Order: sequence, then structure tokens, then C-alpha cells
Amino acid sequence: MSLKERFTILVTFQSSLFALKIFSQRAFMVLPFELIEEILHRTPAESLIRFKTACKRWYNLISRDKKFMYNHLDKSPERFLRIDGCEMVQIMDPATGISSVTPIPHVFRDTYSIISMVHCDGLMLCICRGHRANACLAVWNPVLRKFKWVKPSVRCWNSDYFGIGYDNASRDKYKILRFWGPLSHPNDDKSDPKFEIKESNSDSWRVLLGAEFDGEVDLDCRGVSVKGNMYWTAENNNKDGFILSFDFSMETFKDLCLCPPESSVTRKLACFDGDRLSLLQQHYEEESPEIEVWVTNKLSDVVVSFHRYLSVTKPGAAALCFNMAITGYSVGKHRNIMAWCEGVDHKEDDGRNVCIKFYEIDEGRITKQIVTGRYRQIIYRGSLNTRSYVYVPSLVSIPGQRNKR
Amino acid sequence: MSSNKIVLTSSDGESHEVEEVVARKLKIVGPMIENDCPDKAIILQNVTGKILALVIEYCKKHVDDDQVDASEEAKKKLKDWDEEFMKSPDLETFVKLMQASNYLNGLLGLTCQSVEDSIKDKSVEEIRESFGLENEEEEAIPRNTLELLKTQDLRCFLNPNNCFRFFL
Repeated sequence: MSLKERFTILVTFQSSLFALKIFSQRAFMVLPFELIEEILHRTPAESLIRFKTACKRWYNLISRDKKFMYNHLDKSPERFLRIDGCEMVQIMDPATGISSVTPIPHVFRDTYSIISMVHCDGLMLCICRGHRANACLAVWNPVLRKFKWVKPSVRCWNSDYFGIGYDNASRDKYKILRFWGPLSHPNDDKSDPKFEIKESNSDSWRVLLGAEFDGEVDLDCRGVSVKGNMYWTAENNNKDGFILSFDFSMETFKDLCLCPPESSVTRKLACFDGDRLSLLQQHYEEESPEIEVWVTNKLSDVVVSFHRYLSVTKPGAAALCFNMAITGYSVGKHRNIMAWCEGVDHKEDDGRNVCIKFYEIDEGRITKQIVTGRYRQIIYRGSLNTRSYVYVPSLVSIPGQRNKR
Repeated sequence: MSSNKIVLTSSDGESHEVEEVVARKLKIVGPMIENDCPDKAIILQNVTGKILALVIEYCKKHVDDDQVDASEEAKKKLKDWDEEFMKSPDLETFVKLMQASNYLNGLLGLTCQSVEDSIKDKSVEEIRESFGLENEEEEAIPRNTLELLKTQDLRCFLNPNNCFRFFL
């Protein structure tokens, strides 16, 4: 059964659970508007987009009321987003395993394909392939299906690091950060600024003077945005792993805390419970390595540190996926890990069969495994490239884009 | 913990005696006990007996919600009970239950979530029908056509719901 068929059947089934009773005419006419607001607070963003044309009052609430929008966003559950071979976007609800499929914006196919993304408030900061080693930047909201290119000051490199966040004083004024990576190539003629920042209501970048940090950000860490600030895994001059943070309100870097001391591990950072960080570690030299998850206390606390949250001693097939692909993952409050990743079913001489699976793992075993797709990779290209991301759908409009009046 | 009893009376004179801790699940009750009704007999003007009985049934089931040591199995059982509870009333009763939950300030999460579950996949026309909303398409719900054309994937024109917006 194809994904689409499965999706259609499950949606129909869910609707029919209440179909018999709910939809007679004008049943909810008597409800006061404050109750309707409560209902709409719990309605997924994808449905709200359709409902905003129901009447003017709903339009004003959904499209223009910032307080409603942010309250709704803060209550919304996480989704997983995956870009499928540069053509389609799959968005999955991890609670049900149901995913929707829509075409990716035309511009992100082929020439400007997306290399990686950073999520903040339902907006995806997309780092796209440009010409040669240059990168292009865009901000995209998959629910609104809108995006806007972000012009660099001079140029961006694929190996630059990017961040998206906001000043706590004004959440709707998003900022984008850019700084060089060790593989970036600053221009010989004029110096490209190492640290620069751009605000949503401005077309130009501002050089960040006095912003510095010791150490180097991990090469494959694209950063995580939590409550308006950015976080990366990095290595200091003593070769210890630590978490580097950038505060968009103060516009400064800070060493947040040390990573749990382990050598020969891959580290993946993610947002946990809305206002904390989780760190997933795996030894990269072992065949079926144990997965360890550490989490921090609240990032707003004065001192932040990691404590062990769960260990998966025999992850089995899932372990390969975590190591092989750049995977977004999410740690649930029931001590489980969810991830949507690719693994190799089996290899043959002229290629390999790749299986895309959504996993839910708890401390003892894999509790859920859903195959969402398969494809055959004819020529072996090294590590699998497709990325999945954790994101929260929102109605936040693209910064700097003029809204409908 | 003392087992104080409260008497809740509906608008049509039906009385129910319940434990204070059960009654307090309805946030409106607390201030009433403290300020208006020291003799612990509370009259709920906006709720009929039939609805009040349902509300009390819910409160009794959820009286131990704040205890954190409930097992996963117990939580699942409660969730299943909630689902059944929401399905059982007929539509008219369900709407009255919603209104009561708003007035009493309890069960709100459950009733609103139930409605949300049923409406999220509905079309706009069905939403208008159900909520008795005026179709205001003729007024200027503004569209900046050119901007939309620039940013949207052209495949969106294949969706008939989108087409007429661009060609008003």
C-alpha cells in the first residue's frame, strides 16, 4: 500500500470516529468565541491555514493575532520533516506515524537543493547549494508554503555556520547569524566579516565586533535553536567537547557547559522539552554501539549541565541509522527516542537498497518501526545524504516579507 | 484529609452531594466556597441536572489526576475512559457539556480537544456550516496575488481550493 493510500485511509477512519455525531448544522453556533479560541489553540497549523477563510473574525485571529499565534506555537506538538530526493517534503506526526507529502518549493530542486536546515518557531533557515562552494540562504515556512531568499553581504560558503533566533524583547523580529567554519574560504581581496548578523526588518548584514569564542564547532553540527538562542557541539583547545551558545538578545557567544566526557563518540544535539537540550552519543568504532542520551536542566537556569537520561544498550538496526545519516531525533518524556532515518537493507555489487524508517526506541528495545519508503542507490556514494529534521509547524510569517493586508 | 461534602445544585433543582476535592476540580467552585456559599451548598445557575451529572462523573474519575505516580497502564486506561466519555452523549448534550465546561472552568481541555479532533480534517464549508459562520468571501479578505505567485509552487494551482482565489 502506498504512503498516500495509507494516509487517506487513516484520515478517513479518524474522521469517521466522530462523523456520526459532530457535523449536523450549526451545532457549535452557540459556543462563545473564547471557547472557539480554545478549540483553535489545539488545532494543527495545517488545518488553521484552511480555516482562516471561514469568516473575518477567524481570519483576524489566525492571521493577525500575534498572541494567539505564539500561544498556539508553544502548545503545538513536534513533527518530523524529511526532504525526499529533492522533490517532496514529508511531514510526519510521530504520535501516529501518519505523514503528509507535498511538493517542495520549486526553487529548492536541483540547482539550489537544500544541504541543511535550522528550525526556529516553525521557520526553516535553509542552507542551499549554490555555485561552486558558495551557499544560498533562504527562510521557509512549510505550512504557509512561503519562502524568501536571504542575500548575503558578500557571499556564504557551504561550510559556514548559520543560526536563527530572536531577541527576547521582540520575538517576531528574527535574526540570522553567520560565521566562518574551518573550511570556509574568505576572500583574499577584501576581508569577509567572520561574524555577521542580519535582522528581519533590514536588508543588510551587520558585522558583529567583539564576538569571539575559543575552540571549533564540530564539522557536522548545524546547530539547534532553542527559545531564540543557538547551540552547537564544539571542541575546546583542550580537546574537550562542550556546548557553544549564541545569545541573540545580547549578541554574544558563551561556553554553556561541557559535554559528558567520552572519547570516540559521535554527538548529536537536539531540543528537549521545549527549553532544554538533549545530547545523543554513540561510539563510532563499535558495530552495534550503545546509544546514550544526556539532557540538561532548563537553559534559563544560572548553571546548566548534562545528566544521563537514558541508555539503549542493544539498539540493533537503529544504531546504523544514527551513525550513517544526519538525522534529526527527538527524545520523549517517556524515556524514548524517535528518529526518522535511512539504513541500508543490503548491499550489492552495483549499489545498495536503502530503507527509510521511522523508529521509536526505549531503553530495552525498538518499540515502533514504520517503513516509509525504499529506494535503490545505484552508485555507492559514501554516506547517505538525506536529512530529517524535527520541527514545529507554525503560522509565523516569513520575516521581511510583506504580509497580506 | 477531611472528607468535606459539598452540595452542587443545578438550575433545575437537581442536587448532588460530592466530596469537596471532587467539586474543586471545577475551578469556579473554589471561590464560591470561600466567598459566596460558606454553608457549602452551591447553586450552578447555568447548568442543568443532566449536564451536571455528567460533569460530576468526569470529576470523580479524575480526582487523582495530580498524583504523579500513576502507572503508564493507569494513564492509558484513563485516556480510554475519556474517549468513551466524549463519544457517549448525543450532539445536543455534547454542545451543552461544552458550554458548561466553559462556565464551570473544568473539562475544558478534554471537550475542546474532542472538537478539534473532529474538525481538523474538515473543509472550510463544513466549518462554516457547523459554527454558523457568515461567508464573507465577497468582502476584501485581502490577497496579494502577485506576491503569492512569486512564492508559491505552481503546483498549488492544481488544488481547486486555491484557484479561484487568484482569479477573483
